[in-house]
Amino acid sequence: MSRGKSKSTLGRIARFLASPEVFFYTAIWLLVLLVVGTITQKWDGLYLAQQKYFSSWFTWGILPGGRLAMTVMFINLTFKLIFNSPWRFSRIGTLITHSGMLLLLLGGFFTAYFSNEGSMPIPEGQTSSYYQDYHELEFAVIDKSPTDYDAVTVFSKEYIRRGSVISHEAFPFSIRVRSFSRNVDLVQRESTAGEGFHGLARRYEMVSKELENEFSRNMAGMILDLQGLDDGADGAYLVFQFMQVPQTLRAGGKEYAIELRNKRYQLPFSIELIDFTKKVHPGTQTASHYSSLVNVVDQGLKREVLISMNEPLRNLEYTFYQASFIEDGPDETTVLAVVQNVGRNFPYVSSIIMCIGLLFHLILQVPKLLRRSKRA
Amino acid sequence: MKSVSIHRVLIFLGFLMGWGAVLGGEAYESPVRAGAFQELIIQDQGRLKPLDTFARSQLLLYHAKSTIDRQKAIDWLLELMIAPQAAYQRKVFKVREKEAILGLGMGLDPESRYSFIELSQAIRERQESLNQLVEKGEEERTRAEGQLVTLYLKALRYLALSRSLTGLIPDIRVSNPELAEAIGFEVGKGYTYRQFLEVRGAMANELESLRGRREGDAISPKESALIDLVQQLNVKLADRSSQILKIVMPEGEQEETVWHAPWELLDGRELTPWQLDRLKELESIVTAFYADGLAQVSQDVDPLVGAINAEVKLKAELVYNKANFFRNSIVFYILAFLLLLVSYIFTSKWVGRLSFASLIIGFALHLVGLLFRIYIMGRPPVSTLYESIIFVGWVLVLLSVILEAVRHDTLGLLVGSVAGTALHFIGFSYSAEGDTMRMLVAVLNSNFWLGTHVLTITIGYGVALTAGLVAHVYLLLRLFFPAQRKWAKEAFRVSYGICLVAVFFTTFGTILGGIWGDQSWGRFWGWVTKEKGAVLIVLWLLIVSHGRLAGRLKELGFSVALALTPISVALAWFGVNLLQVGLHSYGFDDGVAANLYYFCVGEAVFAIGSGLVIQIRRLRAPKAPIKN
Repeated sequence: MSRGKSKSTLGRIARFLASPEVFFYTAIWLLVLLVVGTITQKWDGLYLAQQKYFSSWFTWGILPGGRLAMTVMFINLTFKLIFNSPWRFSRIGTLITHSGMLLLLLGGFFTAYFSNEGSMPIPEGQTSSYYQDYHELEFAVIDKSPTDYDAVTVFSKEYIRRGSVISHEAFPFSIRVRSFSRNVDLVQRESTAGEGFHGLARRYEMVSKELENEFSRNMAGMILDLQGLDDGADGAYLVFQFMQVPQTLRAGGKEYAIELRNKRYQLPFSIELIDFTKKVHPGTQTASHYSSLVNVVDQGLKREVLISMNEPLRNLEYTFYQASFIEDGPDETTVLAVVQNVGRNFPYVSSIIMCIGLLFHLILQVPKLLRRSKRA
Repeated sequence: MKSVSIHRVLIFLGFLMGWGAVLGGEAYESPVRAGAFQELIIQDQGRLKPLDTFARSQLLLYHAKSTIDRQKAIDWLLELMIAPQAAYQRKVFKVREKEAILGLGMGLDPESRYSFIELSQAIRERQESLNQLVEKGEEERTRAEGQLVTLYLKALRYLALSRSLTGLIPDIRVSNPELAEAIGFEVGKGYTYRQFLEVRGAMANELESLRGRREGDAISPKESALIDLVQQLNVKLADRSSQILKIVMPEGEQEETVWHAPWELLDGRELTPWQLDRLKELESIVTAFYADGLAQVSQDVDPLVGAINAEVKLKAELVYNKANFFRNSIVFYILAFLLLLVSYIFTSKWVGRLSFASLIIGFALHLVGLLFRIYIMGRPPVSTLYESIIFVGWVLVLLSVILEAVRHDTLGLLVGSVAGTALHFIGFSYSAEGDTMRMLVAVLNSNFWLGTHVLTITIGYGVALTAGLVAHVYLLLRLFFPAQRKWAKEAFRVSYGICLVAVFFTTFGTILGGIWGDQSWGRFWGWVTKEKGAVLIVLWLLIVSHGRLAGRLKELGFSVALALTPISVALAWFGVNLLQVGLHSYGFDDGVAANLYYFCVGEAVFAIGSGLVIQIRRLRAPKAPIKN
C-alpha cells in the first residue's frame, strides 16, 4: 500500500489492478477452468479441451478462457510490482518470487504465439528437411513440370473451408472447395459416379464423422470443383489427409499434384536417419531406451548425432526429440518431435528466480510461524 | 492384441495339461521348507530378483497376502512346483468378487478362500463358455463377466506356474529291465524328462524296432513298457509352455541378457555346456526336495548361490523382504498414537516423551526401508504409486518430528502418528498388486528427473497434506475445545507456515516437471493431465495463501480452505491416474475410484461442516468477540 493513497480515478484503477483480490478471484476462476477442462477432456480429447479452456480468450461464449485469466494475472502482477510493493527486506522473498512468476507468464505468451512444433518421421536410411504440424492443415499445389525441382504453392488453413476459392496466377486452373470435413470416412460407391466426378471421387464417397478424442487420428477430407483442366477433366475431385499417392492433374500441358496435408515447416538443413535402436527390459516388452543415430546435413557438411530419450538434438533454434517410432517388419522409422521455440529459456530463468524468492520467503517467515509463540 | 494371444496360449496350455490331471491326489501333508531355495535368482518383469521376492509377489497375486497360513511364500511356491497335488488342495485363491464365484456355480466360502481343485473342477464344467467370454472384447463384457474372465485366466496362470519345474522332477520310471538296460537306466528308479532327453538316441533306436509291425503281432513286455514310457513323456511334454520361471541364468552378462525357463531349454534344442550345468544343478535341488521336502539341501544349492553371493543387491533384497521395515514401522506409529492418547488422559509428560520416542523409532525403520529400496533399485523411491505413498508418509512423519522437536506440544505427535499409520495402510493395499519394485518405461527411466522433479513434487504432496492435517487439528480444536482459543491460534500459525513450505515444493516441483518436459520432448507445458493435477495443488495453495493476504479469508476461512487441500492432493495423485485409463498400468480400478470419491466427499463434509458449525456457534454466542 505504499503508493495506493492516490484519490484520482487512475490511481484507484491502478490500486485495484494491483490488489491481491484480483489474483484471488482470477485464480479461483482458473481453478474452475482447470477442473472442467480436465474432466471434459475425457470426451473432448486433450487437444480440443486445451483449445477450448486453456488456450482461448473466451469459453462458453462470453466467459473468460484460460488465456484471458492468465493475462489478467499478468497485469495484476505487473501493477502489483509497480504500485503495491512493500520495499522491505522482510518482503524480499515475495518480490523476487513475483518477478519470477511474471517472467514465467511472459514466457508462456512467447511460446503461445511464437513457437512451432510438429513431428518428423524419417525411415532408416532416408533424409528429411521438414517437419509437420500435429494438427494444422495446409493445401499444396505442386507443379511437377520443372525437371530438377517441384514448384510448390501452399495455401494455409484459412483456404481450407467450404466455398473458398483456391487460385493463383501461375496456375491455368482454379479450385473451389465444394465441401470440407475435419474427419471423414471413405465409402465405396455402389456404382461408379457419373460425369463430372474424377479420380477417387468416381469410386468413393466422403462421409463426415464425429471428431476423434485423440485429435491426430482425425482424417480431413475435401471435395473440390476444378475448372480449366486439359482434356475435359473439369469436375469434382476428392482429396484427403494421409493420401498415399497424391491426386495428379494436367492443365496447360503441365502436370500438377494437389495435396491436403499437415502443415509443413521447412528446416534450413536436413536430417538423415542412419540407425534407430530400441532396447527393452530383458524378458519383457517394456522399452527401456530408444535412440536415433542421425546425420545433420547442413550445406553439404555432415555431423553425426545420437538422439535419445531425454537427450535431444539442438540445432539453430530447433530442438529434436526422440518421440516415437514405427516398426513395419524389418523397416524402422523414427519419429522425432521438433520444436522451434523462442520462449524456451524463460522457465529456466524464472524457476531459478522463483526458487530463490520462495527460499528467502520461507527462511524469513516460516521459522517464526512454526515456533511456539511466547504468549502460548 | 498381445494380451489376447497370451490368453490363447494359456487356454491351449490348460487344454494340453488336461484339467483332469490336477483332480484327485493325496491329501496335504507337511509343508516344504525352502531354505536356501529362496536365494536362487530369477529374472522377472525385466529385472533380477531373489526367488523369494518372486514368490511373495506371486502369492500376493493369488492370495492377496505375502504369507499363507503363517507359511512363507517361498515354501508355498516350492510346494506348488514340486508337490502340486498337495498344493492344489490348499485354499490359496482369495476371491472377493462374489459374482465370479457364483458364475462358476460354486458355493461361497465364508472367508472368500478357494482351492485350485475347487476352481478347476468348476472351470472344467464351463470350459466352452469361458473360452467364449475370453474371446469377447474387453469392452463388451459386463462387470461380472470381466471378473469371471480374470479369475479364469488367473487359474490358468496358476496351473502354468505349478508346472514350471516338472521337466526336472524325477518321477518317470522304467519298469522293464530289458528296456532299462537298452537306454542305460536303472529299473524302477525315477528319472527326469531332461535325463530322458539325454538318451533320446537310444530311445529312437528302440522306437525304430516298433516300426514295420503289423496289427495283431504280439507285443513283448519290453515294447509295452516302451509305449507306456513314451506316453508318460508326452504327458510331461504338455507342460512345455510353462515358461514363467526364468531361473536359468545365461552365461556372461546376466543383467541385460534374457534368462530362460527350464521348459524353454527342454524343447529339444542343443544346449551349451553352461546351460546344461545350470539345468543339472537345478535338477539336483529339485530332486532333493522331491525326495524329502524337509531336507536341508543347502549344500546342493551352493553352486548356484555362488553367483548370488556377488550380487550384494539381491542379498539386500532378501534382507529387505525378511525385515518388513514398513510393517514394523506402522507398529511403532500406532504405539505412538496410543501412548499419546494415554498422555492426554493422564496429562503425563513422561508418556508423551515415550510416544515421541516410539514415533522416532517408527520413523527410523521407515527411513531404513526406503534406503533399502533406493539401494536395491538404484533410483529415488518415488517412481511407482506404491513407492510414492510410502515416501509421502515418510515426509509427513519427518515434518511432524521436526514440528514436535521445535514445539514440544504434541501437535507433531498427533499429526505424525495418524498420518504415518494411515499412509502405511494405503500403501499396503497397493502392494497387493504384486512386486512393488518394477522396471520403468523409457521416458520415466531417468534418475536425474526422478531425483529432481518427481522427488520435489512428491515432497510437495507430503507437505501439503501435513498443512491440511494441521488445519484439521485446528478445526477439531475449535469444535471440541472452544474455550482454548490459544491452542487453535497456534495450530493456525503452524498450518500457515507449513502451507508456505508446501507452496515452495509444489510450485518448484511443477516447474521442474515442465523443464523435464522441455528437455525430453520439447514442451514446457502441454496441459496434460498429470501437469494439470500438479498445478491444481499449486493453484489451490496460492488461492488459500493469497486469500488470507487479500483479507478474503480470515483465520477460520483459511483453515477450512487449507483443510480441503488433501482433496487437491488426492486428485492430483490418484485421480489423474483414473482419468488416464490405459496409460498408466497402475492405479485404475473401481475400488480406487470409489475410495477417492468417499475421501473427497468426506473431507469436504468435514471441513465445510465444521467451519459452518463453528461460525454458527460464534454468531449465536451473545458476546463473542467479533474480530477473528
